[in-house]
Amino acid sequence: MVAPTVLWLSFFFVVPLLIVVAVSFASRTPYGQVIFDWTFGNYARFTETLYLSIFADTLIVALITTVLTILLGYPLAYFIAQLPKKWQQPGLILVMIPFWINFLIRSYAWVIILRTQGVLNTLLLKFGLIDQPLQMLYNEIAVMLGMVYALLPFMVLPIYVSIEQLDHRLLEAASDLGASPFTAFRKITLPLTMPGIAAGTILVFISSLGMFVVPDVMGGAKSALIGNLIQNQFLSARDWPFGSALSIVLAVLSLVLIVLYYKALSSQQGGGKNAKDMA
Amino acid sequence: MPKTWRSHVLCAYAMAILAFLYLPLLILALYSFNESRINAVWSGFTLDWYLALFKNRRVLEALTNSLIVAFASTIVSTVLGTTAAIALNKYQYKYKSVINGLLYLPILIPEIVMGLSLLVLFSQAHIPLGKTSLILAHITFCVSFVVITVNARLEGMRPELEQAAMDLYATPFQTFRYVTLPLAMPGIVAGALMAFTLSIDDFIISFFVAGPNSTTLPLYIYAMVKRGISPEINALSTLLMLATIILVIIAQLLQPQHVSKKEE
Amino acid sequence: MKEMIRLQGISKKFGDHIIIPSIDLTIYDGEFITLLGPSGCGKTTLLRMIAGLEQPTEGKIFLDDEDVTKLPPYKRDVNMVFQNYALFPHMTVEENIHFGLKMKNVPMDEQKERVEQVLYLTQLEELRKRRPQQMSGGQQQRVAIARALVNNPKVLLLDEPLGALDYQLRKNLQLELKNLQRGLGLTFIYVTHDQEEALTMSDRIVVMNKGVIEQDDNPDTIYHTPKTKFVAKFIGESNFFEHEDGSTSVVRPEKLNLCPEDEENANHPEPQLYGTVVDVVFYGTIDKVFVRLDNSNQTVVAYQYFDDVKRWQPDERVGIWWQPQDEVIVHK
Repeated sequence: MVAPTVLWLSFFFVVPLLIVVAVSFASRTPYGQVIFDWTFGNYARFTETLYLSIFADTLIVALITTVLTILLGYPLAYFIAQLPKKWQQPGLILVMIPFWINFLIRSYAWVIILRTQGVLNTLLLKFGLIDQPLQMLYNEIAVMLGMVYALLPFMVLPIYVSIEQLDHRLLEAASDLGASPFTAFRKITLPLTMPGIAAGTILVFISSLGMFVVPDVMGGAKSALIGNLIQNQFLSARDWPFGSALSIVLAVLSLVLIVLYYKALSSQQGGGKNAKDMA
Repeated sequence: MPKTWRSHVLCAYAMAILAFLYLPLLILALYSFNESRINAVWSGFTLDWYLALFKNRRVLEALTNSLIVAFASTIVSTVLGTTAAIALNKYQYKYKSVINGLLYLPILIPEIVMGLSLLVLFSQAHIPLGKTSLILAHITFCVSFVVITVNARLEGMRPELEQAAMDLYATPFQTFRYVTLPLAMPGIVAGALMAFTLSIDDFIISFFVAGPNSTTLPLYIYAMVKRGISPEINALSTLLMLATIILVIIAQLLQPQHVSKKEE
Repeated sequence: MKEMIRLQGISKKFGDHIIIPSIDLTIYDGEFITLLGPSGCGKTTLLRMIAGLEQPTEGKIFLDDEDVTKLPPYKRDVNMVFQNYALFPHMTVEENIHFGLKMKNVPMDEQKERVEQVLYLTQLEELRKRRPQQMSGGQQQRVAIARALVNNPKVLLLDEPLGALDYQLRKNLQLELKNLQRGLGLTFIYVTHDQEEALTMSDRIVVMNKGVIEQDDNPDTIYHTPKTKFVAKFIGESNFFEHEDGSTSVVRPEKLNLCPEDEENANHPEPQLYGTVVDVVFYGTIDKVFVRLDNSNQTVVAYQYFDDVKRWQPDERVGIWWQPQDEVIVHK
């Protein structure tokens, strides 16, 4: 009974990825036709300064986005988890909803606010805080803002789950043993909710690596990330082999992170899981 | 009372972040009712932009495309995902971890990679880009979400219920029909709603595999955004957001209540 | 007595793990038989094999002289009351009870009549429109029994049906269940790890350990003449006295008598052992007196009733005696 789905995903998920791998070792004619001549040329091009700097930018943006979403997301998750039971579900739905609205619309909303004739500039001008409209869009900061905004729910959800599963008696025991609320948080809550933070980090980091909508809508020509580079190779430059090589690197990087995460998770929970199986 | 000020600060911080999440969306919605076409200055309430949408042939075409793709991919992915989830729950498979990996990977891999790999597949297999390619692609990314949702429901179901049915003279088919299926139904409906939402909302993958005559609503919005700001985009985005919100809330209400294991 | 179930050389293995090496057991019509043992002793597996939810690795199961070993659960005329009731949450009480009859295609009129009867019998008439999650544990338990009984099964299988309930309710339901079984004259196979429950309810107790039947007797015999050390240990409290030939004497604490060490003109036999009282614990109806025996590390326990002459204090020297007929020799 599981066969139709397995076949479907094999054909529409695995086979395409394999073809992309093959294409990444091909070259192209000036008209964009793919020639399978088995070359490493596409991967060699990564060493060009332009691409190295795009890679570096992407990693930096992903890293900063991850840190910011942890700082913003953790307190929110904590707040929802400590609400009375009947308010947790609505609180969670409130965080979930933006997660389901697509990045395009959510980035566009910021364009309305931040553009030169936008809501924010209009307000600032009206209150006489500035004389000239500020250029707030189409730079790295705008991209960062958009990324954090887009990916925040990815961080909140897993952290919420880990806080919610926390045994509150542990905190009571800690304060009973004389720990201040801050110490109790640092020594108990934080370490025990690490798996949630790790899951959120993986989700946010991987999503920001592959992001192209936010920089496309909110960033300028200079703030291109790998995602935009890939998009370009496929749609304007028509250099599929190079685009394929880029996306294989992206996919492998993501998978390595996921595998590392699961390894860490299973080594941490190994003992507990076995005990549960015995029962 | 140190506990009180701490919780007040936490509450204020949380509210501020929720405001950060929602304010841009509210402003977007608000400006869809603004009379002025160019300025951010509020010049009066109007429904003109919404009315204009319904007269715009290309918007209606995109809407039709979106709905056709969403319905088709929802139906197929729900059937595929549900059967897979039920099978995985019921039978032991030799390569269970491989199957699981195959089912979950489409969620974990960056969407852009999935989009372009499908584009490459369609071009190599000479499948023309259009509604068909869109539907095939949407089914592919929806299936995993359906499997997860239905599976969550089935895992919460105690195996004794099916055993009890068999003990009470129900054949395997009757057990499925009268016990397994009704109990899994909320999960299946939630999975279908999720698939529908994902499909109608998808931009990234559609961006790669849509053809010139199969523009969906998000693709249409993208094209408009690239041309510049207009109140019609606000109106269209607001409608799409509204549809998403309603679907998500219904799907959430159908999910098993989020209770921690220790209380069960 | 008519045979109802016969288990012939039943064994069960999960992979390399042997749950039940080999069991033969006959159960008679109208009997209340209890499979008693610690968790993991194979009692539930045995019950599930009778229900058809589990296949024996070897052996045959006969139900009313018919070989049902290969029959699936839905073709066996036995019904089961599950440990956590396994009531269908999407059906009302009435729908739950109707389920079996509906699956068997019993005519509608008869279905209605039988459901009414069983609702009356289990005092669930008022609750018929409720859903399981709106009911207390005790009420759910009644529904589970009604749902099984309505099918008039040849045998009712009960897997720790009272395990999830609190003490007082469990006591009441034990009596109710026993009366129900007697009134209907049905065969009950009852699985429990609670020895007290087994002793009060059963006509016959099968004590199991590691997939092997340790003893198969009526409650009285099981309690007073345990065949093995395991049975003596598992059921009630016992004092064990090892002998040099490898055998062990078992004496129940209520059969041990205490007397002052230096008692003169006693009108009872000479004490077999001497020792020092180490602890006296008050248990309401009795005192438990713990005595450390001389020349050994062994501590024995004796029950003292308050109408006995003396209440003992720690550090007192005592003699211990018992009647020869109260001593049971066990092996292993």
